[in-house]
Amino acid sequence: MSDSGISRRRLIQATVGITVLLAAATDGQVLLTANANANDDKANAERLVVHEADTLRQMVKRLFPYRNLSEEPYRLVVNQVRNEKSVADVATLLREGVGVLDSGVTGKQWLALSKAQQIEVMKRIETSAFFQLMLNTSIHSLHANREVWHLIGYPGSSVEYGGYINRGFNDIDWLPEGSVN
Amino acid sequence: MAHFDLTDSSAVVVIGSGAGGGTLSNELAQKGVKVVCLEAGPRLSLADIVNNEGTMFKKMSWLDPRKGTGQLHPQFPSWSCKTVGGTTMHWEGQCPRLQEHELMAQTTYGEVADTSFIDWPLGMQELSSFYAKAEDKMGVAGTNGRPFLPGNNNYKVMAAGARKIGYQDVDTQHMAINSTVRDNRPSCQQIGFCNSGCAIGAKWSTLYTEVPKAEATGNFELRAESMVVRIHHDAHGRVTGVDYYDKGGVLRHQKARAVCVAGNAIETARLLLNSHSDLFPGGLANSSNQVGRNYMTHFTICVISLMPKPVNFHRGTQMAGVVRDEMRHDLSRGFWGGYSINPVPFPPEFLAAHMQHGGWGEELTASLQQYDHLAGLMMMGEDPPQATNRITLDPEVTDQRGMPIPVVHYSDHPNTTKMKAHALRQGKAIHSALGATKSYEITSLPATHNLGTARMSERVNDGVCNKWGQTHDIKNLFVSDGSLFSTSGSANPTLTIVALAIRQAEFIKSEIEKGNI
Ligand SMILES: Cc1cc2nc3c(=O)[nH]c(=O)nc-3n(C[C@H](O)[C@H](O)[C@H](O)COP(=O)(O)OP(=O)(O)OC[C@H]3O[C@@H](n4cnc5c(N)ncnc54)[C@H](O)[C@@H]3O)c2cc1C
Ligand code: SF4
Repeated sequence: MSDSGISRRRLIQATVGITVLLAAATDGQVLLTANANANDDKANAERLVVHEADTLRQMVKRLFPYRNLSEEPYRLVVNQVRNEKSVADVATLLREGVGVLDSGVTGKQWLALSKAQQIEVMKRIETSAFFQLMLNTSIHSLHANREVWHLIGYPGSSVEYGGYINRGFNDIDWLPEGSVN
Repeated sequence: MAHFDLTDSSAVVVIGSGAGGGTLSNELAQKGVKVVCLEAGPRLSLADIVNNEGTMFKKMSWLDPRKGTGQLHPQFPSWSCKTVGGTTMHWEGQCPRLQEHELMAQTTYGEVADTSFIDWPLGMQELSSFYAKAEDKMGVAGTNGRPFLPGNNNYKVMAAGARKIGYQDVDTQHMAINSTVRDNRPSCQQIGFCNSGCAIGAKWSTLYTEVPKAEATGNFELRAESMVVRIHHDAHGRVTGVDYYDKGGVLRHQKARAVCVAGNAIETARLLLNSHSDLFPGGLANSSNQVGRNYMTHFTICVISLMPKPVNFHRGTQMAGVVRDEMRHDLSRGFWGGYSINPVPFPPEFLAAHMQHGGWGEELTASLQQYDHLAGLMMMGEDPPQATNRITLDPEVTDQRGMPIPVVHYSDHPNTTKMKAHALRQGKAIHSALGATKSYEITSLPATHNLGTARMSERVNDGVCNKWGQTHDIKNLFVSDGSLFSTSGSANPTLTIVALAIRQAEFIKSEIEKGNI
């Protein structure tokens, strides 16, 4: 993981990625409406779409398994990755990526694998464009999400509350006596 | 605000309105010298500043295409601003002075392989009164009898850990952030988004200090969204004016009495190189072949640690603090030169991307989940000049206006590799002295200090400018930014840039009076 190819990609994510993210800021949701009267083909296609969404969402959870986080932020990552404009054909990249996950262990869909096996399969494809897109999008989408911020203790904007001058900028109380001055 | 005709050659043209250009413009205007300042970026107001790193990055950062080679990011080799105020909008406000021995780098360090050290053509005696003026102008906390800023939680962790491992020279740093109400600007409210632009203007930026003060003199005109692409000269080799694209994208020519380039070292070198002509085939002021060379940054590497109890490092002034003990020159550590240790916070998105290269999964997420327990340090050290670290023009790729994009090449000197390892070790020791359970290293930040690409030297063969920032080759062409640095020292550069600009304004004024320019 310390291979410089990957470090370089990470750098791209942090700098260029940040603008890509903002440009692609997602507000809607991908609606996966099931139509009870659909014909078989259509039902099949929808099953595939649902399977893909479930797989991608589970993958984001394996990337950043926050304790006590609702499904919503994870779902947003999937919506966002599907709308990614910086990739020529994101639909194909995701479909094939899910296919690679599903073929990681013969005869079993990735979703049906144990946690350890799921992670093992993910590790094998870390350098792929599919994985990097998922990781990149998860980094930016999840960590700019207010629900995640709230969960981990990052409040975001503070100017409207008068900053922290009266809200604990220097309230630390566990340092050794007399160590700061 | 004054208005100057394009054909009016009475004004000095200053390129860039940041630390160097904004200061120089105001100093000249106060002395009655006419100035036109051309700034590539737009003019924001405090109302445009919000507490969101991503939004402000998009609004203020220099995002025109560049190419990085060597160990740099290929598309984003360096981080600076494109806006009125320049990078004094993003900056953190740290204002240390260079140390006397750092101004005499060649004398101090001796012959070091693969470096191009020189001594500065001016010493501390000549510089110190201008440092005092710069500190006064910027309202630097902890100088001229002004109180220091109070330390925030992240600072207190650094200070306590530093003292525990034996460091002594620790305080909340000389900061160009108001510790008391001053200069019609409020005191710092500990908002905690300093590098997104200070929403209340407590942090010094030329946008709301130097620029409006210059405008009030009636000697100064600012043209925002005006990108200079070429400097012209006459048959005698004196500069006569500049070509720039105005707000509407129209190419204009502004005549000038003299030209001062302050585009932040990469753009300054790019513009000089791009202004090549039959008389100056290698670029303007480049008879020494030193324009663009000796590009220096300071390495910036960080340690982020999980502390045993809450810190809340996002609260308060982001980087008010310093440990100076390692800034000394002491070969017993195995390297020459020194580095500073500073507190630094980061928002979650940045940490998720950088805290662990290529990282994901349970361990990283568990650390991020304890965001309120994180503490952060940034180490920043002297970077030696190397002739091969340099800015060139891309032979093929041009930007949106047809100007060749800059190629920025940089690789660490072996001394830097040693100093970085030492700095990471010491940073971690500070946190583990207080019971940190885990520490992460961030080693891949883009450069924020750009220095040395048109350096000052006594000699015409190994530098571009004399000790006034006047180019050796062309007496009415000046460089007025970090490009001037003969060597980098270990101090953050802006105070020195401002001090040199104040000094340069005095020189230009007297040269005008003498009829030399
Ligand atoms: C996040 C961050 C934190 C920092 N913190 C500190 C700190 O704590 N202490 C410190 O000392 N330094 C700090 N710095 C560095 C500091 O901001 C710079 O050293 C300083 O602003 C450089 O001044 P300058 O005049 O050279 O360039 P700038 O301030 O960048 O100004 C250059 C201006 O020129 C304009 N320009 C460029 N080319 C052209 C052209 N061709 N035509 C017209 N206009 C042009 C640009 O748009 C820009 O506005 C920090 C930098 C960053 C990014
Ligand atoms: S902490 Fe102080 S300087 Fe920084 S943004 Fe807030 S008020 Fe401005």
